[in-house]
Amino acid sequence: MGMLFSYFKSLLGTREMRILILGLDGAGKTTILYRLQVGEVVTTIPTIGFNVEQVTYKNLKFQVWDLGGQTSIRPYWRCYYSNTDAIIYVVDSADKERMGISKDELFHMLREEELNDAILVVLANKQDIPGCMSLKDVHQALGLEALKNRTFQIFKTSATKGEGLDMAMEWLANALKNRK
Amino acid sequence: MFASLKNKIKEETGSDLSKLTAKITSSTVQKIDSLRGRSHQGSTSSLNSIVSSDGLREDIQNESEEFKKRLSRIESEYSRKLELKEVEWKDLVKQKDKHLHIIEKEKEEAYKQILNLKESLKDAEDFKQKILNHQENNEQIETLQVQELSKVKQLVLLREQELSEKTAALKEANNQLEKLRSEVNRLRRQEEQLSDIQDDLESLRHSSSRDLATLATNLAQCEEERRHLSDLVAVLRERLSNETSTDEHAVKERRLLEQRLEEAHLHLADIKTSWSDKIASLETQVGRLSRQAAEESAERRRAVQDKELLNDKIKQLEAELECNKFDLNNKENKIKRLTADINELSFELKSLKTENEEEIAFLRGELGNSKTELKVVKKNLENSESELNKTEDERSKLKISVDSEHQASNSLRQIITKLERELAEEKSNSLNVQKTLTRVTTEKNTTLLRNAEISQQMEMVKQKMKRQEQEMNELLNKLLNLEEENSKLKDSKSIEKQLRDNIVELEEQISEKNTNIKTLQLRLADLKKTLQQELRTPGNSNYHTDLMENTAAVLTPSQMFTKNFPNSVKRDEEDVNFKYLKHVIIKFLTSREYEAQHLIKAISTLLKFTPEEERLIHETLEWKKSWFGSRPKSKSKLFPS
Repeated sequence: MGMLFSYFKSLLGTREMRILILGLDGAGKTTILYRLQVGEVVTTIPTIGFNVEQVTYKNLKFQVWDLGGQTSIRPYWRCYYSNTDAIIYVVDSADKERMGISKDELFHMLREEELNDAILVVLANKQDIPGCMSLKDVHQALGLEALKNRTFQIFKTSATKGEGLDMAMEWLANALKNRK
Repeated sequence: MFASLKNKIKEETGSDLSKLTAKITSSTVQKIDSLRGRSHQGSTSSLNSIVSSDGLREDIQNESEEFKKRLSRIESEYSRKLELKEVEWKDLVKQKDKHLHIIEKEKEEAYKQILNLKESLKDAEDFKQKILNHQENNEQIETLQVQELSKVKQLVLLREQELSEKTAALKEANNQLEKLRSEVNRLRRQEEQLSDIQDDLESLRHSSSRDLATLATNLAQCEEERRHLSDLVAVLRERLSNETSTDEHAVKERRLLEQRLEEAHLHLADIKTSWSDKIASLETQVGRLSRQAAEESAERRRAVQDKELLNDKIKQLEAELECNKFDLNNKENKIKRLTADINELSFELKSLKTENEEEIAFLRGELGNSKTELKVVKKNLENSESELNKTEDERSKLKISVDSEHQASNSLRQIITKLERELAEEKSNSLNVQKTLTRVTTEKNTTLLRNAEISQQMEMVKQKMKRQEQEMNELLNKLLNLEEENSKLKDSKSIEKQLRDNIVELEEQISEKNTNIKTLQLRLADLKKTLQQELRTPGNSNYHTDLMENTAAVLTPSQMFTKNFPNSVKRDEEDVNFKYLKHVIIKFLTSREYEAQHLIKAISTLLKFTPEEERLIHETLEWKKSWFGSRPKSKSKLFPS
């Protein structure tokens, strides 16, 4: 009886995890989204607006929102913050000039009250490009050591080659499970 | 009287000089002084000596009194000494008694030791007897073993003798057998010869019979010829008889024929004779041969008989041989068994011997030990006996002394009994006292318990006191802190006053600023009004102010901007915003309800909805999601219809 009840409860209780993929324009957010969803590299155009897809990973359902990262539409990110479980913040490791802007945007976002409980995953993307910044450099450039009271992890990825995404998603899935 | 006293004193002092020299000297000096009668040195007891120098009589009286006193003193001294002596005697008697007891105990112990030693002696004797028995048993066993061994040896010897006899007989039989075998071989050769001879004989017989047969046939032919010829003769004679007269020729022929016949007869006779001769010779030959054959057959028969006999003998001998062999095997087996038995028996004998020897050695060692023990015991016994004798002597001596002392002690015992009675009384008294003591102790215990309780209470009270002291200290500390805070508060009050002053100043400034704001808001309202007027009249686009950037530019058609917007960068941004809005609205319209809920906020920010409008959209979505409820309505018409 208790088993049955718990089963129904689990059926009812399985809410989709709401995940936002954020980052500057051209960081590779849409590529990562579709890489996660269909496992393939798709040709993308700059996202004006957003993409939303359902991704299933290890029996966990995610509703992944990929929000456009262009300067003019970055202010609208905050319209999507409510009820967010996790944020995947994508950084272009080869774009050293805009690293500072990326850092500002990240910390501006993390100041929002609605995202206090959200888990943060930073993806140092485009690791396949030669001369890009290493994981340590990205970590330092983003000033992640200043983050306190937040569950976060940084991963180096290459969305086009599909490297590092599995590890990041596994960590995220475990973190979300543990948070429950 | 004095002399006797002196003598007494001397006796007493002489007997016990060591102890009483000092007293005696003092007493003698006193005596001498008193005898002279002129001693002005009054002794402690004789204070009247100075007074008595007036008259002799008085002197004498005084002296006698003095002597009496001295006598009494001496008597008292002696009685004291006697008491001391008695005490010493008692001690001595007690010591002697103790000694006696000890000696008696020693004696008892010695008796016990003697008894123990006697028991050990008995044990040793038993051991000796056991050893003797063991030895006897061992000897018996040895003799039995020897007897058995001799029997077995005799048996073995007998068996060996039999064996030797049997082997001799066997050898003889073997020799006979060999002889017979050689004879048999010889006879076999003879047999072969015999068979050859028989074969010859048979061949000869056969040839002779054949010859005889041929001869017989020849004879028969000749006789037939003769018969034929005789017939012919007869025929011819008849013919002659018939033709005699007529024919001379025939007579001639007859004559010729008769001649021929006679010749033939003659020839036949010759042949007959030759044949008979031959037959006779052959018959002689045959007879000879037959005789030879008979002789040979006889010989052969004899040889065969001999052979059979020899065969029988051989068989018998072989049987005997087999029997002998069987016997031999049996005997050999027996011998083996017997030898094995002998070996076993010898081994057993050896082991038994060794065991016996060991036992004997062990028992001898034990015997020696027991003997030595016995010796030691005997010595001990002798020693103890001598000691016993000594002790007995001592005892007798002591008994004598004890008897003497007993007599003395009896008198003392009476005193002791008295003292014991007193002691009993004292004991009863002491019992009473003890009872009282126990009562007192119980009382003391109770008081102690009370004391302990009180002390516990005291400790508790002390602890409380300490706690209170601690609290007091804490309170004092708090008080100090409070005082400090109070001082701080005073400082802060002064600061507060300053701040309040500042606030007042700032409030004044704020009120000024508020008035400014109000004026500005009024201006803003004016501007808005003018703007709306401008919008209603689309031709006039000259009043595009900075405010347009903040307001919802998307609401207006984009063609307006293409014409009238001077800044190209702004236009791009607007374009992006427009695209974004479009995308969001499309998504909003096409998305699921769950996603749409999330998009409400985005749309409301993009289109700058009032909270009420936003709420309306929310409720509408909720209504759409749920199956019940009524459609929510906007409370005030906000949208321009």
